[in-house]
Amino acid sequence: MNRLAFLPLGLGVLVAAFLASLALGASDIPLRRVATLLLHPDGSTESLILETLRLPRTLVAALAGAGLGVSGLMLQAVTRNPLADPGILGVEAGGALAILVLVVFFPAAPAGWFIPAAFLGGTLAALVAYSVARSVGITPLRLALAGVAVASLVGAASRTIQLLWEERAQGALFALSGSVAGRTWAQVGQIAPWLLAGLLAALLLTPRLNVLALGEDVARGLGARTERDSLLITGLGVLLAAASVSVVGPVGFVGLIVPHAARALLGPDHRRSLPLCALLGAAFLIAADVAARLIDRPAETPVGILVAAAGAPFFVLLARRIGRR
Amino acid sequence: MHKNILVLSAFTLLSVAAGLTVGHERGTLDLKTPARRVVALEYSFLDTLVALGVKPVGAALGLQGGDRGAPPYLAPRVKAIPATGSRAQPSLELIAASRPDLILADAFVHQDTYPQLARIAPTAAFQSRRGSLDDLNAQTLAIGQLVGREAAAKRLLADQRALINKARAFAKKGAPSFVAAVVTPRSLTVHTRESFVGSFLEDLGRKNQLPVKDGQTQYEVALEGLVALNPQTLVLFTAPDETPITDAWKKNPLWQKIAAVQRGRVYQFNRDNWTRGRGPLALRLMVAETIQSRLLQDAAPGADFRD
Amino acid sequence: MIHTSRYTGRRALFIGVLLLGAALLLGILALGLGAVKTPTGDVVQVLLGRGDELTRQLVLELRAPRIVVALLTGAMFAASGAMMQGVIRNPLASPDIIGVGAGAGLAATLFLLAWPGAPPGGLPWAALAGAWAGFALVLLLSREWGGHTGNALHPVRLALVGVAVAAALGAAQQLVLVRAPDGLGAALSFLTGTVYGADAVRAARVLPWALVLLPAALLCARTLDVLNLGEDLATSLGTRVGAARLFCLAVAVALAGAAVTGAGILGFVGLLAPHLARLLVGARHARLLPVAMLLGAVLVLAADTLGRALLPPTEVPAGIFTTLVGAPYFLYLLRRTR
Repeated sequence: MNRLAFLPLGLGVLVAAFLASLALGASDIPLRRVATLLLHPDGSTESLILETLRLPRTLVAALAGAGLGVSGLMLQAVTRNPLADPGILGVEAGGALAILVLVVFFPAAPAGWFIPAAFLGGTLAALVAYSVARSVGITPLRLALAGVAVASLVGAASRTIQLLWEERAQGALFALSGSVAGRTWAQVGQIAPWLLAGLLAALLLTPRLNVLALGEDVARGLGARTERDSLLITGLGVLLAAASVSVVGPVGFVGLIVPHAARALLGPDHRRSLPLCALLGAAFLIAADVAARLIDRPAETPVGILVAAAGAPFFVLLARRIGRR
Repeated sequence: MHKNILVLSAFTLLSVAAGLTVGHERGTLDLKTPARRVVALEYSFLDTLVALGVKPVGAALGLQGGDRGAPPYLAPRVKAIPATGSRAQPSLELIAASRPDLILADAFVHQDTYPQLARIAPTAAFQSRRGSLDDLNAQTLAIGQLVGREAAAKRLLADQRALINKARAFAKKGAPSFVAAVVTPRSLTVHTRESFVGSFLEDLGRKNQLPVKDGQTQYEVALEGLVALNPQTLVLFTAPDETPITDAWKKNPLWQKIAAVQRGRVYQFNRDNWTRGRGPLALRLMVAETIQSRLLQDAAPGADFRD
Repeated sequence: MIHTSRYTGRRALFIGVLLLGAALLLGILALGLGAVKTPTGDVVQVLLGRGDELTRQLVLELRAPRIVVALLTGAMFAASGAMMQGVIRNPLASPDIIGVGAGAGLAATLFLLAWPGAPPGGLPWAALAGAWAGFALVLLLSREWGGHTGNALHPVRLALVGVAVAAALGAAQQLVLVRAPDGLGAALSFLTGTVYGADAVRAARVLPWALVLLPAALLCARTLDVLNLGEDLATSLGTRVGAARLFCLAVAVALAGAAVTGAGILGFVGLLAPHLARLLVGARHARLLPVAMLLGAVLVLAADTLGRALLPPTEVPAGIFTTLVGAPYFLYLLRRTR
């Protein structure tokens, strides 16, 4: 079988997940009715649920999933470290702290502030972890440990806030565990330009990614400007992750699992694996979100926790494999 | 006759000498004399003491830990009481320094500090934070006994019963069931039949739509979940200094599809008064507000309780 | 190797005595500090067996047990960290990283929230069990399955799997916490590590562990030195590397687990103290271990005293201070280890 067949297959999975996400929820809408309502919205409750709740929610999940998956792939390639993951770099912890600070200290802040704040927090945390690890040469262990240290530092700050302002922070707890419930078109609008542009840029950069993944010496030998390229790609990776985290909150392990799956299916050529990574990432997060709303309906379960529960064993397995080398 | 009085007074003397014995969550408390200097570590205890006419020598009124402080109805009546730390983290030193002869603690929140509190003064632990209406009424009686005002406590409970019965008369027969929810800027949490406010409103004669779900007496739902529940009557508990998440939801046309919104039966109460006081004074206020809001009659909410 | 000459026994002794003095001084200072003002004179009176009832209660019943618990748990975390670093031969190893902290945290949260009617005082035991379970999980997962190599505990893999397991347990803990209607504060303050509410009972609970395990740690000093020489050399010196590692790790985890029952998870003490000790007296464990213990004790006592005196009557958990100091130091350390 031609391995490239995985691309349309990935697309098929994404479409299936997308449709399931539109049809399933606190109350189910038959697929046929979904199709009719999408083409001819009629202002009924079901139509409004589709239009104002499930469509934006699904789009956010798709964008963030794609962003996290591609971000993971880029970071893993550029650091040549199979454990590199936006979550391990502390992006999520940083974003969560920023959200917490907003909720606790600026309870009157408009909803529009959350995304830029989380974006900033996530980027800063990743920057610290990455630069510490980079300054001594990145090994899987160092990167993981730097991430752990940054995450626990940021986590201590978060916990201090939760402890000293317990009652106010309680409301933020749900948001802090990663969720796409209740996302609006306005939020789609806020992140879509960043993520779409980022994904496009990532796609354009895949040839350089391939060169970098060969190792710095080889890359330099091939005439690549490795310093500039790796900085560019890392920056783009963090940007994608931070933009995703800013709207869905901490959703760990998507950026870890999806790239590994994509590479396993399509091999090391990023021109192929990166698009597949975007498709699978989007499909994965949407599917996880559908599971999260069905598990306990009509109550919502944060999708981030579900993903973490599924991803953590995989992480352990990966750590074992790397530790063996 | 004289003999009778003599025997009676001998009994009284005897009972004073024997002191009083009151059971609580962590055992029983034997006091030689009723407590005079009381420290209260939960708002419901403070409410009860104030209702009984006892001024505590200290209370967990501190704002540390982001505690929102005494609920508005109680705040003016406890201004003069010294704060001994917050509810989450009572200051053992300040409590010791106020030389109490009785400490009232929450059986859950203070379960780890209980031994230390008990070493400072006799300490009674009650289920306040996680208590049901029955638990809280039982506490009122127990606290009344501990401070030597059992009769007053019984009177409070009888008044409350009468008031609730009076309120029940307002309740419209066959009115549709309600959904009650606490709303914060980021979440909406529905309260089932077994929760404190959920069961209280049922006690007043309206039916709660939601049973306990997998052991959770309260759980969070999103707008879609609320629309799926489609309550005929919606009771929201909000804080006046916050922008509840429902404000954002109202901009969504789906909000208008909720039966309660269409019927104009969305009631709003002060979350702090309703969920944090939980003593006889709070209950009296809650009954009064329920009647005033016209929730029981299933009529459009009064001006103060409109959403 | 030239530098080793700097680290003489006399120097170690001098530093040890200095630290002991610091601990004593800080302890006396801590006896006089708190939400209620106690004049120095009154405190001295109490210590001499006189003084009024209230001051006696404040000093002897509320403050003294706290100081004891802070000193003990600090020493135990530090010893645990020093041993783990010795065994794993990685300067970045510490109880926080090896699954002990995460296991204890998850167990404590589960215990508090899934079993609200639990017997009081059961929390620390749940945490202890969790610490062991977390560590066992890490150990199990980092072992070579089905293989027959003698090297059952590869250091890098152990550390990596530790990080992974900590992340997994943390996610599980979140899942539990997010469903909790309240009681969050109680669980969280325990996780952050605090000496708040430590009483004579708690001190008595930690003390036997400390009395057995701290000397046991000191007895391991020579084994740790040998292990530090590297596997081949250690084997040629007649040490059964696998068994020695396992024993030292077991003592280290027991230390951390017992300390958790006293004060929760005091972040990064197990990392910070051994490193400072190494800077002061060198890498020989016979000197390193006692100095690290003293440093850990002083560190935690200082953090707790600061937390008590900073914003009375609010108590800032000691664990927050140790993490805020320890995590940046960890990053610094990471930069230096090439």
